[in-house]
Amino acid sequence: MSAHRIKGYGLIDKARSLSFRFDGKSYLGYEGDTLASALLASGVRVMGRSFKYHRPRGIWSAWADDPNAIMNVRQGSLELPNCAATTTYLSEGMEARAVNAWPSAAFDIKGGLDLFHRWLGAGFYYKTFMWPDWRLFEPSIRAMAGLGAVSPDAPDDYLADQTHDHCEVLVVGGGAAGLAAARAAAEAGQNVCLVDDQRVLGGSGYQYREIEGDGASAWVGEQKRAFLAAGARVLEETTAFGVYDHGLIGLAQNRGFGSAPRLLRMRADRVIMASGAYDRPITFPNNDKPGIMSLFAAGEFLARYGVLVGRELAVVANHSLGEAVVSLLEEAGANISTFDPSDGPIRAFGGKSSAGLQQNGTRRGFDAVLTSGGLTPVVHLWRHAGGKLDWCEQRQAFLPGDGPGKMCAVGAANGTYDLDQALEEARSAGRNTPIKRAALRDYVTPLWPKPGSLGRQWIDFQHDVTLKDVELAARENYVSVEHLKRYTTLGMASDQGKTSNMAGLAAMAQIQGRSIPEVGTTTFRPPFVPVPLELYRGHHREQLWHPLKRLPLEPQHRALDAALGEYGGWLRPGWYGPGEVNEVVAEEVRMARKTAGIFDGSPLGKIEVMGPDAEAFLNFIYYNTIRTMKPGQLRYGFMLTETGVVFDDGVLARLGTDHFVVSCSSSHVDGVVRHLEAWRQDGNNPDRIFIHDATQHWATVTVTGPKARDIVGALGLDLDLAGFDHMSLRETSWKGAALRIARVSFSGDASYEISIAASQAEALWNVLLETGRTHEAGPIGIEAMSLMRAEKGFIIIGKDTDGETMPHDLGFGAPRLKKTAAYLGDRSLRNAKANDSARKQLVGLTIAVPDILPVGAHVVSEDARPVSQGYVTSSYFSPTLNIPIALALVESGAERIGEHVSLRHLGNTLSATICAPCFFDPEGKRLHAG
Amino acid sequence: MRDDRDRWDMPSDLAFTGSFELREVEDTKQYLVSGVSVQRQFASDLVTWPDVVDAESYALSLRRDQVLVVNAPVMAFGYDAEKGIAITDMSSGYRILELSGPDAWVQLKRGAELRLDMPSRSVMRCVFGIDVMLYRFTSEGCFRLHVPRAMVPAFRKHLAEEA
Repeated sequence: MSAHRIKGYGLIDKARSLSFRFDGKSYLGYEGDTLASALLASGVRVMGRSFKYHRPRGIWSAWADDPNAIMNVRQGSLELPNCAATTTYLSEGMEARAVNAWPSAAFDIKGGLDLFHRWLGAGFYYKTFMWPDWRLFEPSIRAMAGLGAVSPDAPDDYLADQTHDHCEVLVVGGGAAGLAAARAAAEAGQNVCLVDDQRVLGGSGYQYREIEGDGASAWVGEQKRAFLAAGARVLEETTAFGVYDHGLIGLAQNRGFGSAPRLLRMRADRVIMASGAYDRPITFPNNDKPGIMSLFAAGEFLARYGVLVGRELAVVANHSLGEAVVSLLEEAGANISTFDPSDGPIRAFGGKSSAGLQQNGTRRGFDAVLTSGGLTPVVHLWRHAGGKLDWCEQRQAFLPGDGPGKMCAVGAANGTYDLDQALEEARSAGRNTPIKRAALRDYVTPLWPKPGSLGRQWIDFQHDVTLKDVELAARENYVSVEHLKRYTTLGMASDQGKTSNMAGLAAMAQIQGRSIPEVGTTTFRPPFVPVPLELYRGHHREQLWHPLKRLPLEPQHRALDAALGEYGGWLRPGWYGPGEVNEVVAEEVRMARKTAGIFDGSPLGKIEVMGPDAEAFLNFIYYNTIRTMKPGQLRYGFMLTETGVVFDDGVLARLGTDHFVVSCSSSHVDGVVRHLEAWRQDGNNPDRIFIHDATQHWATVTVTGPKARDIVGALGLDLDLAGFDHMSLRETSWKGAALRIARVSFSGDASYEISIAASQAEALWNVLLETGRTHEAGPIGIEAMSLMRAEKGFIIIGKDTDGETMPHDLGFGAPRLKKTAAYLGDRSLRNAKANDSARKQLVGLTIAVPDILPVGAHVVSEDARPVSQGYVTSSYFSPTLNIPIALALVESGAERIGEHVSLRHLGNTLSATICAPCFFDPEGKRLHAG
Repeated sequence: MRDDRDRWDMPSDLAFTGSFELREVEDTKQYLVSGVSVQRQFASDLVTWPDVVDAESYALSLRRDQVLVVNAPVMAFGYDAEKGIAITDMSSGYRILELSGPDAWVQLKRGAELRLDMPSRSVMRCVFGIDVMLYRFTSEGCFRLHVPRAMVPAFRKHLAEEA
C-alpha cells in the first residue's frame, strides 16, 4: 500500500513534527496523529501479528474497533502493554513494538506456525494435550499465550484520579448527531455534558464535504461554540466505557500517554447515545491480508489525518452507505475500482506489500482493498443498561429496541445513517421530544459468511478464528453463541468482538438454518474498550486500600517503640521494644503476671443499648439471661446467629434500668452493631430500643496483674477499690472527665478496664504508665494479652471457634437448659445436629516435648486411614507455666480428657494429651483477688 | 506477628493548605440523640442537606429517629424516659474537620457522589468510603465533616492524596 499524506486534508498540525520508533526503526509523524496514522503515512503496512498463527496484520480500522495493530509502547520510563495503535496519540520520542512478534511485525520468527494451521483449529489444545497429562503442557502453553508484556518497572507515578459528577443530559459521542443533540439540549436549558473519545470533536463528520451548508470543521466548531455558550460542558478524549447500577456511567478520561486516565462516575438524568456505528469486514478467502481494510477507516484516515491509503483502491461493499467516502477518496486523487460481491465469489491475494482481488477469474492488484459489509451500530452502552436489541432486516443490523427509560439512541447508533435524518433525530432527542427512527434511504444487501465455501476466511482477525472454526464448533455442538465464543475464542480479542461478532453469529445462524436474531448476540459487558486496572484502583492504594482504624494513643505507642500491626481492622501494638519477638512477648507476660501489664484496649466495643425495651431486646439477643442483671453488674455472654452458632462473645454492662453497654470483641464492633440494628428493626419495636456505637468516643486502658489495684489506686478515683468485685462496673470521673471502670479480665488476673473520652486518653495512659513503673509494671501488647488469655482458656471468636461452634461446645451449656425466654438461636440449639455427641468441643492440649503444637494441626483418629477429629486453634509456649499449651476443637472433646491423641501437620505426626481448656489459675483465685 | 509500624504513616497534623484548606474544629460538644420524636424536638435547630448552618448550636439530622446535637448545653447521658430519647456523648467519637477554599467542593466530590441540587433529610454521607456527617457551615463554600475518630488519618490522607 503506498499510503501517503495529502495536502489540504486532515486535522493534524503539520507545523509540529514528532519523531518516534516502531519495531526499532525511526519515523516521523505530526501532532494530532495516532501511531497508526503516522505509520500508515510512513508506508508501514504490517503493524502486528495475529495471536495463533502469527499472520501479518495491517490496519483494519481507524479507531477503537481495530483488532490488529496492538503494541507495547514506551515513552521515557513508562511502558504500557497492548496499546491500540489506532487510539494511541503520537507524542515525541515514543517507542512502539508490535506485540506477539519477534524480532518485528514485518518479520516474525513464529510466522512459520501458519504452515501448521490444519492441525491448530479451534479447541485443538483441548484435545491434543489431554494425554498423558494436561499439566505437562500447561506451562509452555501458558507461556505462549497472551499478548504483550508488562514492564517489570512499575511506574510509581502512574496514578489514576477518580471523581463523581452529575448532569441532566449526558451525550455520548461527539459526532454530528452528538453535537446536534448536545446543542439542542443545552439551548433547551438542560445541564449538558458531552463526552467524546477522540481528541477533536466531529466523529466521522469530516468525511463529508459539508454539513448543513458549512464545511465540516466550521460546522463542528459552530456547534461546539453554541453549546458551550449555552452552558454545556465537553469532555474530549473521554470514553463512556460502561453503564453500571442505577444508571451510573463510567467515563475514562485520557490524560496523555504518561498519565493514568481519570475515572468520572457520571450520574445523568438522561443519556443520549450518539456512539455511531462500526464498519463490518466481509468474509472471503484471505480477507485478513495486510492492505485489506475498512472503507470507512480509509475515509477517516484521510479526513482526520490527511493520509490517503493508496492511489489504486478497490472497494468491495454491499451497500450504498459509503458513497460520501468514495467521493472523498476520489477527490483526494484515488482511483477507485468497485467490486460487487453479488457478482461472484471474491478471493484476496497478495503479500506484505501488495493486495489484490480475484473475482470471476480476473485478478487485479491494488494499493489497498477497502471493504465494507455494512454498519453495526455501537449499542454496547444500551445493552449494559439493560436495553433490548431488535433485528432490522433492512439495515442487516441489531438496533436499539425497548430500552432503559433514561436512555435513547440517535444517529448511526440508532441505525439512522443518513446525515440529515440523524441531525433531525438528534435535535429531537436533545429537546427531549419523542423520536421515531426514519426509514433507510440507502440499500444494504445481506452479505454474510457462506459456510462450506473454500479457502481460509477470517472472522476474528486477532484471535485467528476462521469460518471453518465456527463450522467445527457447530459440528461439535457448541451452537449457542456463548459456547461458540468460549470454544473458539471468537470475540475474546482485545477489540471484544467489535469486528467479529456479527460475522460469527451470522455464520452460526446459517449453519443451523436459523435467522440471525434467533441465534442472538453474546452478552455485552463493560468496559467498552480496555481500560487500565489503575483506573479502578484510583486513590484506593497502599494505606488507603484498606485503611485501618487508628488508636488515639498511637503516638504514645510509637514513642514506646511499639511494634504495630493489624489486629481486627485496627493498627495496634503487638509488643513493645526491641529484641526477639517471642522473648519480648514472654517477658511482657511474665511482667504482667508478676506485677501488672498496662494494655490499650480502646478498640473493645462500647455499644450503648437504651430504651424501655432494651432489657427485653438484649435478653433476646443474648444466649445468657440478661433480665436478672442489676445496674453496675457485668455479665459475660454470647450472641448467637439464628443457626445457634456463636456470633460474638463479650461482656455486657448494665448502667441503669434502660441503659446497657455491649462490650463486644474488638474486631467485631461493626458487625455487632449491624447485628443489633438488624434485630432492632426486625422483630422488635424500634421505637423503644436505641443503639449508639460509642466505641470511638471512649479510649480504654486495661491494667491487669497482681499490682493492678495499686496502680489504679494512684488515679485517686472516688470509689472503693477494695470492695470493687470482679464483674462489676462503676461510673465516676477523673480530672473532670467522665470515666467508667470495669472489673473484668481477659488475662485471668485481676484487671481493671478504664474507659475515658478519647481526648483524655493520653493523660490517663501517662499517669498509669508512670505509676506502673514504680511497681515494675509496664505496657503490654496484644500478643502478650492473647497468650495470657490462652493460659486461662479464654477464647477469641473466629480463632477458637469456627462457623459451626455453638456455646455448649465451649462449655457454656447451662443457659440452653435453663433459659425460659425466647432468644436468638434457641431453636437451632435443640435440633439433632446441635445435640450430636460427636460435636467438636473446646479442650486443652498438653505435650511432653518443649515444642509448641502448630495451629491448624489436626487431631486424627487411630484408624488405618486416619481422619480428622478436630484441630488446634491456639498454641503458645506459656512463659507463666513454662510448658507448651494449646486450645483445640476436638470431637467429643469434653469426654476425652486425659486421652492421648495423635496429630498430623504437614506430613509430621505429633502426639498430645487432651486436658481441660484452662491452664492457669483454674480456681480463679487470682481473677477475684482484691 | 509482624511489625508493620513503618508501613503506616504516623498520623499527621490535620491542617492542610493548598487549593483547599483543612482545619480541625476543636472543643465542640457532640451528643448522639435517638428517639421517635427527636426530629420534632430539635426541629428549630435541625440541619439537613444542603443547609448552610449559621448557628453556634444545632442538630444534624442523621435519620428519622437520630440526630447529632452540636454544642448544646450539657445533656445527661442515658435514656430520658420523660422525653423518650437516648443520649450518648460522642464529643470524642467524631472529630470535626472544616474544608474550605475554591476546590473544597471539587475535592469532596472525588470521594463521593454529592449534589447540592438534591436535598436530603440526612447529612450522613459515605465519603472516600468513610461514613461522615457533611454540611455547610456559615457559607456555601465551607464544609464541615464529622469523621469517626479512628478514621480521621485515613480521611485526611485521602484528601491530601487527591490534592
